[in-house]
Amino acid sequence: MYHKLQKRPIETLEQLHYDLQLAIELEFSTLPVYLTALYSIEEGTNQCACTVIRSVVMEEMFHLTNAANLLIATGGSPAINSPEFLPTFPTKLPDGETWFEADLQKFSPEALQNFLNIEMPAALAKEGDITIGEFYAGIENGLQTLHNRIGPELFPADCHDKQIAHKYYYGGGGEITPVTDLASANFALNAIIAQGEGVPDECWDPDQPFPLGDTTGIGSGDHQLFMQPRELSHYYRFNELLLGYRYVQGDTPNSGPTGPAIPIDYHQVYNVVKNPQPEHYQPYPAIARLDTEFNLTLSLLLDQLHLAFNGQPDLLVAAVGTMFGLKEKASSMMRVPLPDHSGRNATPTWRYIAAKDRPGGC
Amino acid sequence: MYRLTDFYRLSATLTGYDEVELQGTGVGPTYCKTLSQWVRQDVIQELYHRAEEIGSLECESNQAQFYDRIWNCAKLGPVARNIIKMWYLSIWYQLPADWNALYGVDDFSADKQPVEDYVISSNAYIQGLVWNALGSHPMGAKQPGYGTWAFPGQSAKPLNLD
Repeated sequence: MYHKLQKRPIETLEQLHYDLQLAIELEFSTLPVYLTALYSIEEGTNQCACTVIRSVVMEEMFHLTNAANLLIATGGSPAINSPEFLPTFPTKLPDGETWFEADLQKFSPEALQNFLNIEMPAALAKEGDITIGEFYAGIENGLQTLHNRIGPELFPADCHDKQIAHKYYYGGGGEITPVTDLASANFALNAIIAQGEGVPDECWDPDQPFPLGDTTGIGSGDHQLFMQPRELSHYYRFNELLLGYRYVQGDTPNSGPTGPAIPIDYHQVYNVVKNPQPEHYQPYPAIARLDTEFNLTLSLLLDQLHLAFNGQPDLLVAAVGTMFGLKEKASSMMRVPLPDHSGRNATPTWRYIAAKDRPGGC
Repeated sequence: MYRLTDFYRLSATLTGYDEVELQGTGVGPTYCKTLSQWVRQDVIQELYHRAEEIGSLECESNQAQFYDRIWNCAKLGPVARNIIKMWYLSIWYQLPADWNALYGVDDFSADKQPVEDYVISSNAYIQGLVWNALGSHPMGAKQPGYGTWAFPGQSAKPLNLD
């Protein structure tokens, strides 16, 4: 079981660093899930679903960057390029959400239900089930505790320049702001919670209308933070897709979406293998090779991200290039039918290959 | 007749790319249809059969046979070359007039012959093998990321995974 959460309040710097590292792993672990579904959609189809999933992916990467900046700002070092960083799917999420497993699968109602579990707001979760938002609330409390004890020294001045700055983060899911004190740390954390679960609300009322704009009906947990058009939190964005309708002004969590229908065609999707393992491809060396090529690119990406977050932020430019390469490799692989006549297509296994195990490695 | 499996096998021989890599472009079915549109079925079948007889081009004697029996064949050579150009450049080139006169589709009416070379589809342009072979990307698509143009190029197959 992939489950690293230490259930305790954060009282030491080591504990804060541990949880922030976990946050980075958590944010990254959602990406293979969302990207497998996104890339399985056939070119030029299901535009709305593509836009929604892509918007969430962009924001997950933004959350990862925020969590990493927080870790760096408090004197820690993100550890990204190791097999332990990346879970093997299907997996429990690393923040202790033991009540479901995240799957790699094609775009489908089942996939969307899986997405909803990942993005479940605390108010909707069953008693005792941990959500991502609660995990981050623990970090927020820990920051406060440590700041009370250590003071501004919690954010050493020599850690400011090591963070990923906005200039490296073009076209992303939000604006990166440097973490230099408690206020900026809380700002970065709130951005994560607000985009994922929606702005935390002390008095959750499922009959309270969503704070949607008058015209579009699509709005945001972000707008107070970034002055962006409002959009729904991840959970409700995926919920719209699953139900096939838009939320409009006046809709509430209880009313469900009453707006226009969202055109979705689950047939215009490559029927990729669910939770593929390298063993699945052993009988097909040519496909196994595509998977290895994908995993080598993924490993290069994790290496680049690791270095970018450990003192060489310029490397993020190269890492973004690698991300685009990864996308093309995944898309190509998904167009390849397995020769077993099962009607299923190949899809990447998302494994990190350590440097010593790579071709020419030692 | 529409024989995608044969088309992929022949295309792998002609382009030097694995069948799975060609399948991964997603444009194989369109190319197979394009070939059938401009070349007679009996000519296509003959090309498939002859390539099959010759086998893998990894051994030198087969390569020699390939040159003799396909590349330099007045009937099959131009078709083989067009298939390669189709995969790499995403363009269907007009077959030579003298070839058309001898082996072209039966009906020479305007709609049976392309009036000029043409890009097969917008997606075909994106999937052209030439970009990968160059270590580049199709201009306007498959964007490689801001600033990556300043990095050294990569060869098409940098890693030996065997």
